[in-house]
Amino acid sequence: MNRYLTLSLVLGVILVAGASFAGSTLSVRLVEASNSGQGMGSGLADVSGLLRDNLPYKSFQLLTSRSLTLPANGTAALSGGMVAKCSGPQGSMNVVIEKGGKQVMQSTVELRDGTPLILGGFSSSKGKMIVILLAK
Amino acid sequence: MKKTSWTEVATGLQARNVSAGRRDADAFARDFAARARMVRQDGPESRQSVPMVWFKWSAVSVATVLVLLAGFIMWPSAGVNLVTHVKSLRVLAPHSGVIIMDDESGRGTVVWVTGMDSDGGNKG
Repeated sequence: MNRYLTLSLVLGVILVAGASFAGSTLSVRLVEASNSGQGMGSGLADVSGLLRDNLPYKSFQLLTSRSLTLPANGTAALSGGMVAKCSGPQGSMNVVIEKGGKQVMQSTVELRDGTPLILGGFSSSKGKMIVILLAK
Repeated sequence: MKKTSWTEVATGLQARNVSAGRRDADAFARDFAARARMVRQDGPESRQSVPMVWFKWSAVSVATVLVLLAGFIMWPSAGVNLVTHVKSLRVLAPHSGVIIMDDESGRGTVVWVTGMDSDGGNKG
């Protein structure tokens, strides 16, 4: 019986280790929201409901998608002169959004695996820019 | 119908010398217990024996679940224990207000800065 118990413990440790590192990637996406046109661009299927139900825009187009390793310590260069600097662990991550070399937003956030955080309201020519952070 | 008393039965048996081959009480009790432990194989509800391997794999499963639970409880950095929310927020560009919304269905959190002139932020 001890042999089975040892086997199960090893199996459990492997599974726990796997689950603990489940949130190993931070996805950073830049989306342009506007009322010129209609529809959800590709690459936004996982957040389409969240965007459509909570924001007063008809069109959402993905402009850039970047990935950082968690715990984060890097810069995601987005389009339109926007940059997202992320540092720290998933439970307390510092996020700085820059536009044109100027800091426009500083935030400390906690991210749950698979639950996105939307930072929006940045001005753009057509409507508003949105940064979507997602740990997965 | 005539009722026979126990005294008459005992006397009758003694008279017929029936008790000559009688076993002692302890031997009878041991025999009885042994038979009582036996399982009838011809009965309609004869019990099926469960192979030992199922008990072993059940133990493995239970132990695995326990280890997993302990792991998740003791590992607060695991993403599944976290909740997506904003701990602090500072908007450095000119703006008129900030709205933080938690989606009703728990699909995510939205931080919306209203009236933001994001071209007018602080030099980083």
